[in-house]
Amino acid sequence: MIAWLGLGSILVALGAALALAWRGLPALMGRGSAPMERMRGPVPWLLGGAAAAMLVLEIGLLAGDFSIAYIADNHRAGTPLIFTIAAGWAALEGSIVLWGLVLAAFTGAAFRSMYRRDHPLAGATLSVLGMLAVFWFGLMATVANPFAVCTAAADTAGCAVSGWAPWSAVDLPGAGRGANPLLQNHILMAVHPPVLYVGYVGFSVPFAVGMASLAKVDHGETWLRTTRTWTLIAWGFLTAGIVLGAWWSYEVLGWGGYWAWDPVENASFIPWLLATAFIHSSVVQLRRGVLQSWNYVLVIGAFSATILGTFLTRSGVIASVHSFTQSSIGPVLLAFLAVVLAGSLALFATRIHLVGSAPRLDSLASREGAFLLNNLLLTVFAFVVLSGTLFPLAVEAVQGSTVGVGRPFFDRWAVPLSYCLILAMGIGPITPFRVARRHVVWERIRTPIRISLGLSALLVLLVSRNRHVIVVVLLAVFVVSAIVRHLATLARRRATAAGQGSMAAAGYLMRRDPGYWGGQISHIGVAILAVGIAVSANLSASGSIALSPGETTPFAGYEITYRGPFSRAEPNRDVLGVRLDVSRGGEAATVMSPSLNSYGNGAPPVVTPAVYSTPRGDLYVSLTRLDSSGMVADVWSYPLQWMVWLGGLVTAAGAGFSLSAVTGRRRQAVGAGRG
Amino acid sequence: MADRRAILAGVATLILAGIVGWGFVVGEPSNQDRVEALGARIRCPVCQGESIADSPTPYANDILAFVEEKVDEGWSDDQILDYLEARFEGIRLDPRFSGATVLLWVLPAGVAVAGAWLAARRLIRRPEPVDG
Repeated sequence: MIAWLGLGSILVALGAALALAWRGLPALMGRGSAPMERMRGPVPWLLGGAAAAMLVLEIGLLAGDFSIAYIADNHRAGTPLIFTIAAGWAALEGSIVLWGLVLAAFTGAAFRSMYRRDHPLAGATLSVLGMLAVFWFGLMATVANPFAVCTAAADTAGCAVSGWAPWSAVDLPGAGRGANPLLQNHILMAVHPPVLYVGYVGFSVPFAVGMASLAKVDHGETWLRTTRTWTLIAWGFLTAGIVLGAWWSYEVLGWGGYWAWDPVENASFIPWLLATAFIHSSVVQLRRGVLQSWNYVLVIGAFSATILGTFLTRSGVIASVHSFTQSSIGPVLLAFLAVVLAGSLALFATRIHLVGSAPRLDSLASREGAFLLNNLLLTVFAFVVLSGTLFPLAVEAVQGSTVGVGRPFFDRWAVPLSYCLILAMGIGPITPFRVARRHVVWERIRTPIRISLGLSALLVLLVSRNRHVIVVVLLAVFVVSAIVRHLATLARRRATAAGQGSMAAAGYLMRRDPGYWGGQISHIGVAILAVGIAVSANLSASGSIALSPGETTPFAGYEITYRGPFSRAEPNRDVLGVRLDVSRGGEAATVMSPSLNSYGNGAPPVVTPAVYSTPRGDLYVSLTRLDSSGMVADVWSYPLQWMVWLGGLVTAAGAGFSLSAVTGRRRQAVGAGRG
Repeated sequence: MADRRAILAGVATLILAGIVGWGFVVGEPSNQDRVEALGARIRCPVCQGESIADSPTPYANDILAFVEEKVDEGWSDDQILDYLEARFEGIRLDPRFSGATVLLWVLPAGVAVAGAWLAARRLIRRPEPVDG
C-alpha cells in the first residue's frame, strides 16, 4: 500500500514537473511569454505530489512498515517519535524526498510571487525550475526510489535486497535496523537538515531566474533584484543550517570541536561564500551598473556548488557521517552537475557580448572598491576551499596515493583571508560611493579606531596577549563600533530634524533602508562569530582526566569529582555514563553526565559528550573509557564558545531583517493602494 | 581649547596603539602553543584523517609526547616535521610545498592576482586622453 501510494505521489510530481518545464519552454526560448493560466495548472500537482511523498514516507515510518526497504533499514521499533520523523531524511533516499518537497515549495512560492507581480521572467523561470524538478523526481522514480520493496530480508534486521516495483514479492524483515546511531542522538538532527536543505535548494530559484534572464536577453535590473531577494532567503537559511550543523557536531560527535574542514562542511561553505559575494556584488550593479556578467558567474557558481556538495556527500566518494552508503546515484549526480555546468555556461557564453559593460568606476577608494575587494577575497576563499576539498580526490584518482589536505592547510588560508574580510567589512559600509574623500572617511572611523584600540589595550593588559585574539578583537570591535557610530550619527541628525527620540529615529532609519541595515546586522554577527572562533580556539585548554570513584582533579579553574558510573535503559538505547560533580572556587556548579550510548544494532557505542555552558565559556567532557576501577575522559575548556553560535545566528538574522522589512513595506503599500 | 583636546586625543590614541603593539610583539607562542600547532599539522598514522592532536589513540599520544620533547629541546618546527616525515610517509596534514601540491598553494594566489588585474583593467575608468 505504502509502496503504491509513495511511488504514485512521486510520479504525479514528476508529471507536473514535466508539464511545467514544457509549458514554460516557449517563454524560455524567447517566443513570447507563458501566461499564468497555462503555468498555474501543474504547480499544485507538483506541490501535492511532493508533499504526499514525504507524508506517505512518514506514515510508513510511524506505522513501522518494514516491507519498505528504506524503513526496514532506517527505523527500529521503540525509536522516540522525533527521531522516527527525522528518519524520513536521515538516509539517502529519504533525504531526496525532502529535497524534492523543498524544491516544490520554492517553485510554488516563486510562482505566487512572480505572477502576482507580473514578472517578465516568470514563465521562463518556472520552466527552468520545472526542469530541475524533473531531475530530482526522476531520480526518486528510478535509481533512488524511497519506496522500493524489500524482496529479501537480511539475517538479523533490515533488508538485504530490494526491488523497485511496488508489485514485487515482499520478504518482510522481522525487525528494522534503525538509523545511524549518530543521527538519532540529538534533537538538532530534526532541525539541522531541513534548515540546511532550505538553504541549499533555495539557490535553485536564483539560478532559474538567472538562466531565464540570459535566455531572454533581459539582463536589466529586474532579474538582479528578484535574484537578490531569493538569494537572501537561501543564504539566511544556509547560514543558520551551517551553524546548526556545527552545533550538532559539537554536541554529538564528542571530538571536542565544531568545525573540522570536513569535505561535507566545505561543501556547504563554498556556496555560502559565493552567495555572500553575490549579495555584495549585486549592489554594485544596482548602484553603478557594472559587474553584470560577474553576477551571472556567481549565481551559476553558487548553484553548481550546491550540486557538487550533494554529489560529494551522497555518492560515497568521501567517508563521512553524511555519506550514507555506497550508492548508485553518484554517477547520476555527477552527470547532472556536468549538464548544469555545461548548459548554463554555454548559455552564458552565447550571451556575454550582450551583457558586458564599459568601465565606469572612478576610483577604488570608494564603496564599490570595498565591494570589489570583498568579492576578490570571497572568491579566492571559495577557490581555496574547493581546491583543498577536491585535491586529495584528484591525486588519489591520478596517482593512487593519498595526500592529506587537512585543517592546517585551510587554516593557513582562512585566517588571513578572514582578517582582510573583516577589515573590509569595517571600512566598506561607511565609505561613500563613487569617490571617497579622505576627511569624510576619517571622520567616520576616528572614534571607532579609538574604541577598538582602547578595548584591545585592556585585553592586552588584563587578559591575553595571544596574537590572533588581539587582531580579531581589534578588528571586530572596530566593525561594531563603526556601525553603531554611523547609526547614532544619522539618528541624532534625524531626531533633531523630525523632533523624534533618537531610538525612534534609529528604528525609522533602519526600516527605511532594510537592505543596508540588515547587512550591518549580519556584519555584527560575523564580528561576534570571529571573536568567538578566535577566543575559543586560541585560549582553550584541553587534557585527559583519569579518576577513581570519589577522586577529584582540578581542570581549567574547575574541580571535577567522579561520583560513580550509572546505567539507564531507554526505549531505543542503553546509556552507560558517569556522574561528575563540577565545582568552581569551592561552590558546586553543576553535575555532568558524559556517556556511551548503545543503540543495540550491533554498532559500537556512540560517545556522547557532556557540555556545561556558562557566559564565561564551556566545559566539555567526553568519556573515553569506563571500567570498575575508574573512568578516563577527554576534557576541554572553551572560553566564550556561545559567541560562535550567537554570532552565526545573528548573521542569519540579518537576512531575515532585510526580507521582513521588504515584505512589510510591500504589504503596507498594497494596503494603502486598497484604501 | 579644541586644539588641546585634539592633541590629547592623538596622544591617547598613540599610547593605546603602543600598548596593543607591545602586546602583539611580546605575544610569542609558548612551547605549549607550538606543540599544539605542530600536533594539528601531523597526521595520526593509524587513524582516519585525524591529527595527532585530535586523536585519543596511544600511538598519537606517543608522537605528541615526542614532539613536546623536541620542542623543549629547542628544535625548530621544520626540523621536527622533517624528522617525522623521513620516518612516516605522508604524515603531514598540510601538504609540503613540492610536487603537485605546489599547485594548491600557487593557484589561489594566481586567482587573486588575476582577479585584481581583471577588475582594475575592466572596471576602472581611465582618464580621457588629452589631445596635445
